[in-house]
Amino acid sequence: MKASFIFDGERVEIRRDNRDALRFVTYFVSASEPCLNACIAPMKAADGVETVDEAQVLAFLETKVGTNIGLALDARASHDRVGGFIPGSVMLPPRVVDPRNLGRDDVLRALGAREFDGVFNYADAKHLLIYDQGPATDDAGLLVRHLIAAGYPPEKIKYYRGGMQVWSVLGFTIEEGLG
Amino acid sequence: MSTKNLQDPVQPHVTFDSYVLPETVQYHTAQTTGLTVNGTILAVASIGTLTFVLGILVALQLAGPQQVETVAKVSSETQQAKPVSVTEGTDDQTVTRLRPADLLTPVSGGQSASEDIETLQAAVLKGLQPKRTIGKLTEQELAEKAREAQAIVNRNKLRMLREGVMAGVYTVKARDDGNGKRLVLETINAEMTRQSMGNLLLEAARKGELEIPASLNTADGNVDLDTLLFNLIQTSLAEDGTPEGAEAAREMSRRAFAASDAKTQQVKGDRIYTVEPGDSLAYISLQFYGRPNAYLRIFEANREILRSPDLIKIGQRLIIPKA
Repeated sequence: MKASFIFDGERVEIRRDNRDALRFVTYFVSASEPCLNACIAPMKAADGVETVDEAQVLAFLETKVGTNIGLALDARASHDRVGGFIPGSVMLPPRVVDPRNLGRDDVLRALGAREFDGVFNYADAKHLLIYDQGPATDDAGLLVRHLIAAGYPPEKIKYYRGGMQVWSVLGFTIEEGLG
Repeated sequence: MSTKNLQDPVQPHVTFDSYVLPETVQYHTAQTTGLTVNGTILAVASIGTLTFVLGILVALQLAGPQQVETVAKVSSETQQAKPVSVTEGTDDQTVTRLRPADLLTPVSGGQSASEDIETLQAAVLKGLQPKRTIGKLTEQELAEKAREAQAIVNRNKLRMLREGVMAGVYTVKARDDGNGKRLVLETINAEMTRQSMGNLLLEAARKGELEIPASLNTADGNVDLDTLLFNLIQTSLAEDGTPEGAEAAREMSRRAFAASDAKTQQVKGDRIYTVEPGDSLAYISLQFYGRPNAYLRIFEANREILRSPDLIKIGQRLIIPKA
């Protein structure tokens, strides 16, 4: 199972042969329960948003990201992201599209929404694949809900619940750093 | 004394020399004579003049282009600046008025022909440029149109629809009609089908109560009744003079804009929309600007490929200026 596509002018190759898999698994593991309740993310992020598996992630990367009609969004904060992320994804923490954030509209426009008299139209907006650390966190779920609150069509959003935790266990290619 | 004395005192002798005509009579006689003479001269003179003029005219005509050229050149030179600036195609009257210049110019021959051909060609091409089938309306005409729209909307079923919109009890939906999704105004309190509204509008158009603008002709040759209806209601609300009406019209725009499913592409910094079956220029305007009557913005941005607002074709790629 693999994927190969162009992202930001660079060829990206994803395979299941990660020699550092164990290191990543250790890095992403979450054995404690820091939150009081509902620490495990639900299967469904929001109504109308499909939860996808790894094969669908790879297909999305090739057919949507590779053709520039979609974006893979990493909902984690940057300090989590530097430890490793899915190649071809970009960072978008939920608070950036929080309804209270004044800069939200700029982000929506950057995602392809067009604006008129305070309302947004998402016909040109990109397809999104959203993930985070994994089932142990709900950053992705929060990002999904913020986007839907802004009017983003749920059918344009996919939720990869497995996140980095499942991704690393399966030995998929992981990129490190600030990319 | 002798001769004079011999004369008959009763019958005085009057010689021609001594006879003096009374002034009144003299004047009268002189005038009569003068008139007769002058009349003859005039008649002769006018016949002469007429012949002379006719002769010149015939001569001119036979001589042809050479003489006329002077006239033509003068007129084309003096008007040269004008045709270029006014044949933009905004005013049909102006174009008509200038046509003689175009007709006369080709007459000019000789050495000036080669230098003028470019100017001439440019002027001719300008004049041949397709004209908009919709002109700019005056304020008065616009007001009149708005009144017409209101009058139609205030009638029976449409009135109910307008009230529904005013009350906010409606949706603007992108409904799939088999040809892709179309924006449609739907209300729940006005129990009428789209078909009956369509018939109503067509009937109004047939009776001459409503003029269907060219911008509502679709790429596949039909009339875009949904957009016409939307426009009627919106115009009627916008022009009713109340803040509520204006706000309701604005809300229609926002809902239509948000509901649109129209996709665009970025090409060299321009936003490009590809015309689909069922599209009219007004409908495209509705999707990107929330109102059908902003179509001129799209038309102006695409003058190079659009001959008229009613002549859009399926598959045509139109620049959509930013809202």
